[in-house]
Amino acid sequence: MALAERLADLREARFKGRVRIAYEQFVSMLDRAEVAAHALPPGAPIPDFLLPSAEGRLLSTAGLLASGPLVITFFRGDWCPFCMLTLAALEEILPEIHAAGGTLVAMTPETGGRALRAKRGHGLHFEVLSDVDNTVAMQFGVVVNPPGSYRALLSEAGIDLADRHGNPDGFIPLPATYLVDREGVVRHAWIDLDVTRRVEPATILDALRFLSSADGGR
Amino acid sequence: MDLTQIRYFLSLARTLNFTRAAEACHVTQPALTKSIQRLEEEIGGPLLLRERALTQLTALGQSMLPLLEQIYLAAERAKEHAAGLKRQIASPLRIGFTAEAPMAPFMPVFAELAAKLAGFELCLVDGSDAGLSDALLHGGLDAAILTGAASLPDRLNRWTLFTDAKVLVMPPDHPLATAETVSIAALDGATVICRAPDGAMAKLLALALQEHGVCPATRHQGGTTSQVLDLVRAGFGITLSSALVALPGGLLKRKLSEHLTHDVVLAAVAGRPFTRATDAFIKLARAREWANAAGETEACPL
Repeated sequence: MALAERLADLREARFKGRVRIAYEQFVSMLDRAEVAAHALPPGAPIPDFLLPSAEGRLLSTAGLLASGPLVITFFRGDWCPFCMLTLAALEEILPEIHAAGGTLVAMTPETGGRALRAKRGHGLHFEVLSDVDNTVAMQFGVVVNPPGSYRALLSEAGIDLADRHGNPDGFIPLPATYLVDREGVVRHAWIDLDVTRRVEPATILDALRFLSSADGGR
Repeated sequence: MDLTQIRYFLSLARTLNFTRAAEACHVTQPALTKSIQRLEEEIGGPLLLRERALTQLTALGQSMLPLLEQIYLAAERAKEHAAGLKRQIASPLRIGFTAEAPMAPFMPVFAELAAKLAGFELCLVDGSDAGLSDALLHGGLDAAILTGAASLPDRLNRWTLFTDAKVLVMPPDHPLATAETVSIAALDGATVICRAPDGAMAKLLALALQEHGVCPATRHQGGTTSQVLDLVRAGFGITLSSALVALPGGLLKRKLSEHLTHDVVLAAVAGRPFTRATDAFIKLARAREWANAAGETEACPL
């Protein structure tokens, strides 16, 4: 089943009444604020970063790019079932990503071992980095400030972003995915405003394969 | 939101003038205005009041200013640090450790910093919560590991990393060593040794004894942890220690049936530019799963 269908089923089951209204208001706000248009675009170099992996290792941009093209996907945390469904779909194509010479990395603002919990709890075999305080997501231009109505929903559901992030901001990353070439330049940016509607993993894989073949297997 | 929007807003907050802010940011005024409007849309309200020739921050703008300044500085520093990584410059890290905080769980973090940061130089400083807080505020330390037992100054950011359980430490021939678990009540009439009367450990013990109506016969005091443990080994009495501290030979740990714990807190000065090593240390410490890290640390067998 395509990711779009799985997300649609989950959306149908979860987003009802005021939950749906609050979430749609959030997405509308992002649309009006033109956030997608101002995220890091294709052709731009990605920022140099040094972030902790789920296992407590420090991983740098240069280190990750040393193996080849990079697929970077931002996700909110293991509290978001849509995010975890998307990561599970990416896990399914991980062997093909590797076969195409790529490396997959997921980034979350979650701290306190939650990156490790997301990785182990969902059987993920790619690096999951803690983007502490969203500093890297900010440099990608994919950080958003959820409106009060949406924050209230999260709070009612027992999702304490201040505790999870270790800061009171409550900012979360857009569900964005980037394909970056060996030189650290963005080749594709899939900026999904709506966490329930993500780019299909097959699309990412096609782009990666095209990039790898264009690079001539360097 | 993106850093460009934030940079424009910060310039506007400084100049309170759209023309001057646009010039300072090397963009046209319409571009700056549009960017601010987008930011206001995302934040959910006006950040500036535009009244004829007068521009001023709204209450929302004033409340968002320190937060956005911090975010911008953090992102800029992150860029500098990553660039510094390539240039292989020295990476000093001065960390204060309160006596009651176990060091062992932090070793993997220090090892990772040493492995990944060229020129990493670690300097550990011993002290009390109050003394270390003071040193932090005055720039003598980059970060500190505290017990968090007392309230910390507002200027310090603090993150609770994990909760440290306390155990009793005694020589093998001590009367209380026969049981695996000891109750507080059994300390009535015992000789206890603490490192400092105003330390978190001493306070924790005093509180526990008071709650159970227990009174030790004698209280000795050692100047350092090493001195306290030497006194214990020499038969002067028993002491309280972190379950995670590695003990020298000839000493045993016994669990307490009444759980005594305190938080292990990471503290750093809010808004201060960090060195590359400090930034990496704080990120590693905040991202880490400490509960298991603390549990997996090799402690002396009971």
